Amino acid sequence: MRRRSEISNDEQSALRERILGFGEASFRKSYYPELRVRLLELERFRFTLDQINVGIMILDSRDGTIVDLNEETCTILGGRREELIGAKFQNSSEVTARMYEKMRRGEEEVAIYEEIHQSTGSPYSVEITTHQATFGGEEYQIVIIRDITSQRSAEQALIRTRDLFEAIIRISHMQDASEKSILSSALMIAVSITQSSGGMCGVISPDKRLFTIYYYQNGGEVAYTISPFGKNGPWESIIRGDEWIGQPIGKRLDLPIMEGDQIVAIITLTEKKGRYTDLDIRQITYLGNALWQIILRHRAEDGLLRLNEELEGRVERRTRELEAANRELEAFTYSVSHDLRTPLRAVDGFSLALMEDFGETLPAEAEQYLKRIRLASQRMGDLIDDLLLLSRISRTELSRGTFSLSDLAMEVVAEIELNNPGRSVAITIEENMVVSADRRMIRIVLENLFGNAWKFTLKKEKADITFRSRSDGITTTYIISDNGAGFDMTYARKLFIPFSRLHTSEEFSGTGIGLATVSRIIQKHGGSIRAEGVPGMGATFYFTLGSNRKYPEERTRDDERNNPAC
Amino acid sequence: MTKGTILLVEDNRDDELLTLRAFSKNRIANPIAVVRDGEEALDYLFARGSFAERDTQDQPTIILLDLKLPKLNGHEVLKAIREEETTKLIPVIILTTSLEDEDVIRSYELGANSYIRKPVDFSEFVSAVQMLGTYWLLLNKSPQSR
Amino acid sequence: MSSLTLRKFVMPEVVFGEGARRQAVQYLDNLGVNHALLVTDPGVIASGWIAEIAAASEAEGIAVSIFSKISENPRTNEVESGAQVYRRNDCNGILAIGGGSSMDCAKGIAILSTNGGEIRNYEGVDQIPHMGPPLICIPTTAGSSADISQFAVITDRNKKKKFGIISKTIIPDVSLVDPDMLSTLPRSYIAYCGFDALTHAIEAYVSTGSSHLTDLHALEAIRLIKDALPRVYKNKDDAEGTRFMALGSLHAGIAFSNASLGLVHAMAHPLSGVYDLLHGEMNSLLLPHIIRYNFESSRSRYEQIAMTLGVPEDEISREGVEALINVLGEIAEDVGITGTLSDRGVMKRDIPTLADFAVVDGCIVTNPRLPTWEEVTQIYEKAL
Repeated sequence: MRRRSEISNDEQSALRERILGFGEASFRKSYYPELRVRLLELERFRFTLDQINVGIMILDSRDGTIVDLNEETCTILGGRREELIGAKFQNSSEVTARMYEKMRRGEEEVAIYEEIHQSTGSPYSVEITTHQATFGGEEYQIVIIRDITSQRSAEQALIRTRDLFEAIIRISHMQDASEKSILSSALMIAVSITQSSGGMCGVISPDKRLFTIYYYQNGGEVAYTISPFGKNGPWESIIRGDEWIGQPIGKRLDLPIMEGDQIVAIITLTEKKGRYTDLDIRQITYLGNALWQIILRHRAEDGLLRLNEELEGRVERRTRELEAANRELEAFTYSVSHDLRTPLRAVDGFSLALMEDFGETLPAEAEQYLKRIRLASQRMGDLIDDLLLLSRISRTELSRGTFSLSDLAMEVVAEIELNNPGRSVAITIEENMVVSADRRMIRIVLENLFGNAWKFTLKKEKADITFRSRSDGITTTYIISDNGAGFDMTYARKLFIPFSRLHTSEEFSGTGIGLATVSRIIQKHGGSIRAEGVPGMGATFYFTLGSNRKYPEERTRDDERNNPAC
Repeated sequence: MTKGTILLVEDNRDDELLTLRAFSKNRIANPIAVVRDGEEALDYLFARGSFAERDTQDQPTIILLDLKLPKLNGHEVLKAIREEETTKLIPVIILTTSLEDEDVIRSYELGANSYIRKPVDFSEFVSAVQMLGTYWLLLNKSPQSR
Repeated sequence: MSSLTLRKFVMPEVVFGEGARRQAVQYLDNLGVNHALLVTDPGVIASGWIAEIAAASEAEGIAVSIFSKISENPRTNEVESGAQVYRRNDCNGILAIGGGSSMDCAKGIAILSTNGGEIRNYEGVDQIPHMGPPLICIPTTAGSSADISQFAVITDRNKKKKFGIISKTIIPDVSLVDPDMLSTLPRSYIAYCGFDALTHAIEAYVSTGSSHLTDLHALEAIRLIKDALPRVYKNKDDAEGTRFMALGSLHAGIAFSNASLGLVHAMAHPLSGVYDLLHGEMNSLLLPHIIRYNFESSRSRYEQIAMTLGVPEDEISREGVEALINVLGEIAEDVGITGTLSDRGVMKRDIPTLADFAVVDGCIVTNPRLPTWEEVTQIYEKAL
């Protein structure tokens, strides 16, 4: 028997129920529920369309009658839905007439319109896309309008910010430019960046006495006037703080430039095509502040320049004075060396002639006097020579070179021994002391110091003179010591003052100028000298020669000499 | 052999006298012509002015020239001597009180043959003149005398 | 079980009478249709009705597209190509003019136009999620009652099967019953359709889904058809007979659409599916055998039918079921329906297959007596 495929009783009764019209979907055909669903869908759709920030509009292709539109379109067109539906799109405004013209020319195209919003007065840009569509046999245009104002203005703000920074950098690099040309450039930038048709910039002079006003009309030249501060009416009164500014007033924007809490200048812009925006205010405020920093820097540089010029002038004048003084001094010493010595030579020469020619007839006492006359004149000659040396050293430039101080000391000692034979002096000189100094001058130093040591040990049976060096790692100190007469430390300071002597010339000969000369030479080398002594026990002189290399100042000075072009 | 003239250019009478004394003490017997300033020295050498009658062929054997002179100074005189054909070979000894380096260097540059500093001590001066006489008058034959 | 006591009565807006077809344009307009798909068959086109109605529609600004590639039994591919025509022409309403096949096809197109997919997917009861577009029917036969009913029967040629779609959503919006339309029908069609209508009425009356409301219509249908069918069969130009026939068919449709049918239809559907035989003819051949099978289960109702058919009461009480079968046989004979299923090519070996389909046919559930599969095969065998 084949398998039966009958349906069960339960299934049959369920089927029967549904056939009789009691199933879940078993209702009489009615369009209402479906309609309601569709209507809800439509309402939802319209709600969605009204929420989005894109304008959507349906126009009758034949004549541009607005068939339907969403809320955003109403906002863009500036009207209510009830008014707009049935109206002709092109009749809404001049703007829509222009849009419609363009739409008709280019089908299915994206076009961008920049307009000034009639109600708000601010510029706006829209992007319009049109599509052809057919519903129920009728031709329509679906128009999609996107407000791209903020997108465009963001782009423009970016471009403007770049332009602004470039401009600021440009004016900050205007070297050698006058304050006037810096301010003129800044004013032109402000006008062009804000798309104003003109502008003014008022600046108070640093002493607050003058008020300079720069005027600029787009495409023209910057003109300016200077007038006493306080005579320029209400505009200027802003600067005195009588009137607050910073917000656009009608078609004009006044912006202060502040230095601390003081208003120091005003920028005024006029007749922008649209309204002045926050971006204008922000950018021009920024420009103003940057400009003022540039002006301040410029003024500071100007001041510094004047000061430098003045200083240079002063130095030059001084130098000239000094050169004149030097020339006078040279002339003086020249005279001294000639004119003072000539009579002395006559005194000495004729005293000797008297003694030679009439010696036999002169009493012994007269001959003694003549001898004293000659000694005195010779001593005066020595004095004059020493003075000349001192003055010459003061005037002479150092000529440094590297040489062995030890060798130079031995040379000097050998010369002294040659000129003063018959003495037994133990001289110890440290080897390999090398210095960078003016050899001729250092020779004078050593001649004096060794000469003194030699002289003051005259009365010692066993004279000892040592010359050595000591270094602390930075500075080398040279030391000449003897076991001679020494001196009282009370008068140590006086040692290096010209003509001051600690011994009578009867005790030890000398002019009292030698150590002053030594001190001067050491000073010229950038070093120092001091002396220690104990009466009857000896004296020690310590000196340094400064750095082994030239001092920068010296080099600079030398370089200037060598290369006047500098 | 006649001894050549020594031209002494010296404005100071004391120094002139002492110089002449130093010559005699050194037994230098050459005729000595003395002029008082630079201009006079050149007049003498170039036979001008008060010396117009002089024979320019008869030039001094040696010139002792002080530097500090009225009118033309010693250096100017020396320069003129060395520029003039008739005098440019005459030995010129600078005799001065100045020991300024510049004076010495300039003198040699301008063609001085020797430079003697006049010391205050006359004895020293006498020995210096002695050296000068020995060298320039006796040993160093002037080109002119050849 | 609510369905045992609850009854429902649904029917389209009906306009009856000569010239009712002219209401079509007005109804299309009312229903918001501006482009109608006219579903019909070549025979109706040939009769000239379509040209008349299309011209009237276009005169009112309602565009018309015509779809007429429909077989005697509408097939799935025909329904689907009709739906394509509907969509391609952006139609938003359907006007079916024709017999049962045109109207069933129109229902199928309506289903696909809003629900999409393949028509097979909607087989069964209550399977249509979304109702279709406006559907107006102008029947040209008196019998199928597709213009009134929630039924559509489609043939799946691949499976050699007819399947039923039953849903209140496919009840047409408007039925314009115009007796004039019947005048063009061939005589054989008049007979089969008339007998189909009579079967509808009888099955609706004995259905377990019948109610007072449907009973009124069922009996009125029987009463009208009994006289009108032979009259019209004999004289096609009998206008009154034709009107009664149309009216009878309408009543039958109203009755069975709400009360449903029974075993005759459950067993007739597989025959049309397997052999592509005419629905009305199958009904008429099966009817006596099923009455015999059902008789004891619903005796008083069948006796009432017999009385309505004019059988005297005493004859009914004396002869029982045979009295009813005899009177029906006489009517069949009057309109030229004779013979058995085997005469029409039905073969014994196909009976199990036919029975397989019959026992799951929707119509079986309201039969007064629920047959087993074996009983169904026995009935088929008797009807051979």
